[in-house]
Amino acid sequence: MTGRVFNVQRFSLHDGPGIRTTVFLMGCSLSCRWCHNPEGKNGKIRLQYDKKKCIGCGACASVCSEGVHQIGVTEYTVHFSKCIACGMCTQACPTGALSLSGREYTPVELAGVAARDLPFFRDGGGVTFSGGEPLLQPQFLAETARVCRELGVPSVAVDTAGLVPRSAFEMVLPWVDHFLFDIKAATEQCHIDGTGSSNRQILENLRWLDEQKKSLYIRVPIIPGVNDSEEEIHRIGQIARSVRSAKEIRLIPYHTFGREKYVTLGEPEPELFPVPEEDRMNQLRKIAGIT
Amino acid sequence: MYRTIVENTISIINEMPMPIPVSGSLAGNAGEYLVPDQPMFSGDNYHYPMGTAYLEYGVQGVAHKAAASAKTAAEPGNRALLEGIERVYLVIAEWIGRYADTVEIAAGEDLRLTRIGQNLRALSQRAPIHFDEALQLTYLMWKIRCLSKPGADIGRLDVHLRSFFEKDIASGYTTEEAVLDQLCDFWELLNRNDSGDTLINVMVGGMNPDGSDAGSCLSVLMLKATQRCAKSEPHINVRVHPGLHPDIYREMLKVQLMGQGQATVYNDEVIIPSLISFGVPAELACCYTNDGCTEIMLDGYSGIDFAHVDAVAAFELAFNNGDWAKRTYREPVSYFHKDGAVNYYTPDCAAGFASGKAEDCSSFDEFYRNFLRQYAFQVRRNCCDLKRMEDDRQAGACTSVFLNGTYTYVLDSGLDILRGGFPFAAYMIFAGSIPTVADCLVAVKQLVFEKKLYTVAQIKEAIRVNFEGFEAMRAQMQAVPKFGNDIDEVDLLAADIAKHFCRWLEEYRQETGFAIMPALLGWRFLEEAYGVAATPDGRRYADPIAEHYCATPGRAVRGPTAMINSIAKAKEAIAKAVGVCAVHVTLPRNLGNSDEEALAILDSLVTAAVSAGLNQMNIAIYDAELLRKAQKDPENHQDLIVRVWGYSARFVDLCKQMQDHVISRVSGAV
Repeated sequence: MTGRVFNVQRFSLHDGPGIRTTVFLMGCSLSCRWCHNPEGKNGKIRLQYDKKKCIGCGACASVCSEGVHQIGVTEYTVHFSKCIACGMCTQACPTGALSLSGREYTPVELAGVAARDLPFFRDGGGVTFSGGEPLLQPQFLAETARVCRELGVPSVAVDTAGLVPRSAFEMVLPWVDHFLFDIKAATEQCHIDGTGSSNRQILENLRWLDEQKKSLYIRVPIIPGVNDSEEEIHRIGQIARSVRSAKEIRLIPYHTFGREKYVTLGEPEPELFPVPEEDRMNQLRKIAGIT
Repeated sequence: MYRTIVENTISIINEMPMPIPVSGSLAGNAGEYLVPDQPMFSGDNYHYPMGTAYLEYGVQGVAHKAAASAKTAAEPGNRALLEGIERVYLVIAEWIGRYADTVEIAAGEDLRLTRIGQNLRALSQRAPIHFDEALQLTYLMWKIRCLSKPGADIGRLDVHLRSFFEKDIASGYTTEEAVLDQLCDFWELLNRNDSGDTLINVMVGGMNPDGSDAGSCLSVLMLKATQRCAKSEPHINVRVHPGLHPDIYREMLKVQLMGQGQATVYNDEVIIPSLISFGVPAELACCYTNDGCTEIMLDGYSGIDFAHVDAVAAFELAFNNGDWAKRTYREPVSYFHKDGAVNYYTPDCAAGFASGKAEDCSSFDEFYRNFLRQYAFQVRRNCCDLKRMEDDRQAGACTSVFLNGTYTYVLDSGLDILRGGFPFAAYMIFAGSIPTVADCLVAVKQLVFEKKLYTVAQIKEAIRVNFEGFEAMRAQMQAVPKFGNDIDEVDLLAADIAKHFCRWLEEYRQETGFAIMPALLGWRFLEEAYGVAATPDGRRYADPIAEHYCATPGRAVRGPTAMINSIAKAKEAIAKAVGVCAVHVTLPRNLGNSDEEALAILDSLVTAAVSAGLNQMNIAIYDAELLRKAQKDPENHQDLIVRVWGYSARFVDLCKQMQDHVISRVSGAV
């Protein structure tokens, strides 16, 4: 069994308690307009090109049989649509300008990487599986989490948007201590407008998870113009505060960190939203009833 | 030999000012009176703490004890020293008495000044009995030690003053809150003397020979004083061990959370066994403290002298068969301070030793062996220099009579601390910037010997012009794995260099009988970065080189846990690096949603680093944006304290180059 992963980030301090290593799994069931992890949106491993690192040496073109890399006199063009993600060019690239958006791991392999910081996982620290939507690879996730526990990782967390079958939660439940659960909108229409999907199944999963005696960290991304109306925030707050096993409820301001990634994947730049000021965030926290 | 020193000392002490303290509980001038280049201090260095005989016997008691020993001293030189101590300490006692007169006259009805006057009066006549007296005497004596330089190491102040503190608390003579206030007064006075590279270090905590905790409630109060004062002085450090009281540990974390690059952690569980295996008796090993900077010595039982051998400079010499790189660029730089003299810096290695032509190497192993030969040569040169220093000392060097008089065993023996007085002679060689060399070696290994993309000659040409026109080559060099990211290929190479370095010093000791402690650290990383040329890891001229045994600033992109793992791979060398292996970890500002969360993060980092076998670690917490703002608007950022090398300083006092270096530590900031 293998799974697809697009990043492993060490010393993560905001993905659950303590010092954590966050593993980002590929594939997502939502299409959030503000997504900052485009490489995790679908399960496909794709070519990424960082123009800043490119020296125009042409090593990529010389090993590519698909005609992806077109070296002109003054310009170098990447034809992303032709790429079959064989990885030949990324190996040939001497500066790391070309890379693949993810790679396959076996659970044992991935758990080994995730547990490299084991000595630092004190005071509740551990491994967080994020994405994309990690629960779209439930068997792989469950097995990796199990091996992590076997290696001594004291805490495993899953960061989910919740739009997955109940069975996915059930599969990973024995190995997981914490769920970081996103509430992106309270009303169904708002959720559809923002993410392309209804939130009915998400809220059902949230209520079910609340019964499972796992600690829940509720996270609400604040996207100006999408989900930050007073009414919407008030209702989100009501839902979040009704979760009995919620250990923490956090409103997280929209940011633009993922913009450049779209360019590296050959995708059009994403829709941009204004970044909310701290005063506005505090105002919304009050409305949501979150101190 | 001591006659001139004694006369000089007496005349200077008699001239010492006696300012009336306008606030606080302590008397003493703070930086108003400096008399540099005096014969009385010519043999002193300020990196190590004084002894504490004056706390035990009082100032007059020191004089009487020296006089008694002088009567039985067989050697004329020893007798001369003891008689000198007697004279000098009687003058100090008289001076304290006059200071008491002055304060008493000024006191009138003022209870604060009356108390200070009473303390001074008592100290002119007898040994201190109470904590406030002991603290007052410590400051006055420290000021005499610092008459020619505005700072000197203080050492294990919590151990020095513990008995006074506990007796006063037990008897109800004082309270913890009053002691905290007095410590804050002491800290403020230290800051008024100077700030930055002052050598003013205080160590707290640590283990006794029986494994019990040498730390106390007083250690906690000292850490609280640092939090309350929030200034750069003293540079406070903590010796951690399994039995350290949790309150000391927690206050240490709180000091670290302030983000000023204090308190530095020293790991007793590694350092004490290292000292013992180096030949230091266990009871003395437990007395170690850091000196005025990062390195360690024995508080009250050794001085310290050292030499610095930068690995990047040795690499440049190896790459050019014993010569410096040909280049078209060179810039002057200040040592670190914005008002410091600006000079063209020459690296501290010497050209001339042909370790082999890099162009002729047929394998990376051969290339690496050439580097090791060059580095070994440079290390040995410095070993010989240190031995010569020791031989010269034995031939007739002398320390100030004042300083000699602070050590009880000198009062017994009459032996100058530099010539048999100290129970242990601490000499040390610092190996700085090894991780940058490992980065260079891996780049050469991959690009020249494995992928054969470039020849040594091509790289030399690129270095000659600081990579101008060679941007492609530079980008390829930058893509090669770098130290600090938990990548074995480069981390193990650095560990191997460190192991060789420790072995060379051991071999020198076996050959000559002269013991030199290895230390994996370096304080000249800024100057070296301007002294050496560009390097094959893609580093342009003047870009930072690694400080101590840490990643080259900006290159540890996988975070501090990965960097600590990289460093810990040199565990074997670290255990031998008695002097120590210095580690700087720079963290971002947002460590958690609350102070409690941030403290838990710091706790996890420190505990893991200590368990991994690191013997020293300094944690600083910076906001790169704030540092950049302070660069542009120094007036409004006067209180921003950062770690420089073995000390913390006000950011706005640093030269632009050192400011840039500090900013570059925040990963990816430059």
